[in-house]
Amino acid sequence: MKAFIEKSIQNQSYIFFDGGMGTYLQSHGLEQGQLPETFNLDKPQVLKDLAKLYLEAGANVINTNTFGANRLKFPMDDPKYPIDKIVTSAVENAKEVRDAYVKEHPDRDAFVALDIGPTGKLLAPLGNLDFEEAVSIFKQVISIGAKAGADLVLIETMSDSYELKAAVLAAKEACDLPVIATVIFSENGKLLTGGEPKGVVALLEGLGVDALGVNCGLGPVEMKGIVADMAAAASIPVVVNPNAGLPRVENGVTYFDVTPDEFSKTMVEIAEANNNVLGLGGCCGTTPDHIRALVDALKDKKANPVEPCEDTVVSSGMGHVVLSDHPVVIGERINPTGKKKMKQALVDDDMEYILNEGVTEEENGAHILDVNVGLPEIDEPAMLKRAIYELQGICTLPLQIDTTDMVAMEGAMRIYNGKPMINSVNGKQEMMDAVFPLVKKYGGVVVSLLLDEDGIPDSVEGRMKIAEKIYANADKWGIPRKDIVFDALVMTISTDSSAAKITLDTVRRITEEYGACTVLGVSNVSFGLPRRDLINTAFYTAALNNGLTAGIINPSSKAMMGVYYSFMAIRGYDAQCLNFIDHFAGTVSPEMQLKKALESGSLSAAGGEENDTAEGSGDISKTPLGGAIVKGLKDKCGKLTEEQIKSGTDPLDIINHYIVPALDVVGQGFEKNTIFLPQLLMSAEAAQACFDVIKNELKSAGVESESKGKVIVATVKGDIHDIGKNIVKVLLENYSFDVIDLGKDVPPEVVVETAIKENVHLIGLSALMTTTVVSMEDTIKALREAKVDCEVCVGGAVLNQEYADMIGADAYCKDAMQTVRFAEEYFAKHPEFV
Amino acid sequence: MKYETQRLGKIPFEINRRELYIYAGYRGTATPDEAVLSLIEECIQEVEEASEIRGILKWCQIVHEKDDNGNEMDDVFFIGDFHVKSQALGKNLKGCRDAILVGATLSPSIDLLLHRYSRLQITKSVLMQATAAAYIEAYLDEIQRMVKKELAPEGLSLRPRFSPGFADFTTEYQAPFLEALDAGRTLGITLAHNSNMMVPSKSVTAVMGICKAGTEAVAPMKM
Repeated sequence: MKAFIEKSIQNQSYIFFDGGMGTYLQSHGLEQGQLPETFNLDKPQVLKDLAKLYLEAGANVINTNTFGANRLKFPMDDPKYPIDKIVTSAVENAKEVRDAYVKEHPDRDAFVALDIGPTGKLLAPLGNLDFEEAVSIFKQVISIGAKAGADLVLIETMSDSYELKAAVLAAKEACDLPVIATVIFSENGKLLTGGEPKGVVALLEGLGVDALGVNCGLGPVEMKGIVADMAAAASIPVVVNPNAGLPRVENGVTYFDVTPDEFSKTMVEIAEANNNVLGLGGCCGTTPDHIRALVDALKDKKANPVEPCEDTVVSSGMGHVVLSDHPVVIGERINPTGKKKMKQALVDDDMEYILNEGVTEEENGAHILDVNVGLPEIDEPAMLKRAIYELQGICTLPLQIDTTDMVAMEGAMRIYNGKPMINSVNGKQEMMDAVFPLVKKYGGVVVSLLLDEDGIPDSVEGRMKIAEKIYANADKWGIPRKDIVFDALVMTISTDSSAAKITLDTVRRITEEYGACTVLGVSNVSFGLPRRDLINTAFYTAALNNGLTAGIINPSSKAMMGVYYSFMAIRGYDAQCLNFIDHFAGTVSPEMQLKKALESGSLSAAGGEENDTAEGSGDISKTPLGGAIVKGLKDKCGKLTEEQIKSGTDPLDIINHYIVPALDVVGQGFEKNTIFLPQLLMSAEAAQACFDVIKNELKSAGVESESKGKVIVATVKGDIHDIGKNIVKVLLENYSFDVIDLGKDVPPEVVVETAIKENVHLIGLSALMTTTVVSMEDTIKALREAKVDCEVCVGGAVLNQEYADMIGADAYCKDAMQTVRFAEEYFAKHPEFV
Repeated sequence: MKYETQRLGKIPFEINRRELYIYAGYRGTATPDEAVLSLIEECIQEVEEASEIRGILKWCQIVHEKDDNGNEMDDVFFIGDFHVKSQALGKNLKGCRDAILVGATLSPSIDLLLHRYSRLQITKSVLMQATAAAYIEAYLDEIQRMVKKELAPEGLSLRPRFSPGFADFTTEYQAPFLEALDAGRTLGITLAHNSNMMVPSKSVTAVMGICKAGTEAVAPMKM
């Protein structure tokens, strides 16, 4: 099949795929609700007849009846329909027909495609199917199908880029067959999980599929725009398998109205209007007649050529960035180098801190986030994988995987949902031999540092030579040059006054001579100098002017982002300066701000706020800090706490005299129904801000923060709604309990293991639905059977005291405050467990 | 009766703020203070921007199964191809010859936001949950209004929406319900692995019985 695809590209000849199967099977006895794959064993002749009809109509590729064949639906130990039999019979049925047909028509190229549809489950974190589990599910089917003799793997109707990646990886790892992948777009031109054609193409080409395309969901007319986008973004053959129009249901029966003639007419238009479109066939509602009409109309015509798209694209699950379109900003904040707090967060395994940095960068205008978690004292591969996984769960931006540890790099590339940016490779042979195979396998745009075994050349010429060497190596690996972006290397001008000039000249030459994208770690230029902001902004401006694509900068720096938005406006990348206006209308320069502040007298050396002196007075809400907590003013709380510490108040006194009493006011209000959940939580977050300051203070003084006892919280197995558990966690932490959060969908054994390992005696379980209360009961049973010395409190929407008693819980807590109270009582009874 | 499937995208509708406050934990007539209100407005805006709300309506005939004596059973019936055994739903649909299966979702982009806030800003997470819930309910309310308007000239109306998870119409019905709507393909709703919970999490399935105008109310039921 690979040779046939090659030949088709060479000769510009079309490859015809078969059409729909569902309607045919229904008219041949498939009942509603019956799994179509059971026909492989029960009624193979129906499938053989259909395959023959498609071959006679002119199809080159016929699909096996395995769209929904996977072990979730057909377990290996199923007595009647085990997965291996289902898949093997499907391939054999198709092969038998194909072999007989080709024997009679030796001039015909005909291939059997192992058809792979989605699992029907959404991958975590949107759903709860683990990525590697999905890979394993697909791998099993593909291994069986390849062994049975399929000629290619056709992955189709994928609506989630993450599942798509799992399926393609599985195909690549399970066999050597060619892989074609087609996806289903909604009318809005997006995947159900949000991806757009350009990002999908980047992902698929990065993973090395042989052809890609679109199927199902829409008719040929509705598909025109999407196909045009895909074809323009692609460098390999594009396959178009539409439905016979949009489905229409009448009297319970689904109809597709587009006739074979109309179908083929539009398909001809699509084929003629776009380069790269070589594969044509149908999906739901199309019949052998549709395919025949299509083949008749196009078989003697020459297809448009397959031509490469030279855009440099990185993608995420929901978005993509075209680096070659215009300059972009790469956020530099997720990197411990020179950042004390980030370092501490990594050592403390404080993922929230990292996620917060990422979200802040996104909000401040970054287009791509660099992720570097390299610290000698942590397990970098594990941390990088987790950071990537967690970031892509909360943020839509493409990520740049930044590491020198190859194990970490591969782990992160593998689980990344999209085509990542990789930071970095360089001209050292050893590095290229390590990084390029990974890029070949998983795809990625690689930042290539212009240095090699001999160090960093101090001339433009020297750096250009290394660029040549990197290109040559990438060519050898079959990595397209558009996926190589160059880092011309920024050195500080404080030690070498010509450093910046060499860098800028290199950027210009790479831009002009290769048309390639460039990256710079901009702020290195000012290392060792005063007023780095001045040098940095000047250098960034100059670099953009010389053609820089992506500055790795701090998006929170108003000065740097000011340069970026100004440059975009000046260079005509910002139509009517709308983006610039959006960011800066109504703002004033820092000088003006200062002037105004001084004039109005709001700026004083002491920081403005009156000092907190109300200790001992009756109403905690009247003290500035207490009041800020009660009102839930998070930002103010952090500042006020800092001021109190600066003015000499002992941190523990702040906790005991301000935070705890303020939390009590709010907690009691909540219990009395005068304060409601959002306010309670705002106060909790505000108190958290105080605690963060205090913890840092204690840490630098070498004091351990006090814990009132350890608690495990978990949302039980099968339950994926964890808001209740999260609320409980925040409040418990507020009250100085040490919380181990096991997350959602937690199997009983994990709770038991953690309780034993971490020596925890109080466990809080949450469940939202009646169906998952069963898992709660299982978890309690498992804890009792393992004789864990603990009490279990339970909560959740459907629970009540009666239910809690029934499943053997020690307590029912109707809300988060009650859980706090229960924990207080428990540890008062059991001081030995604190 | 038209036995059709209708697909809907975004339609104009008003979110019910009172309902949102209740979802967020406010009781009685209590209203959020200014700080919370401004967060709620932020949430509404974010949901409006991020969601790709869509729905599907499948107009079906209700066919009751017969017991051994040939009598129609109130609690065992087909709604189109969707087979149900439920006293509660049977009661809700009593007297209806047709019903509409409806599904709607706010899309996975909302889950990303919910996930983000649940990790980083718990207050906003609660308000976002409440907003998203109120948003999809308002969407369904609007659909219901539209359908009622369409039915009115024929002297017909709708019973209250009835979703899996109420009484003996358990969430076990979620899988066949989604299948009846082909919701995986049409709306992107699937069930979580080893669970009856829908993904995207802000998704709703419901049955709307078509009844004679004036018989919209269902007698309270004892289970």
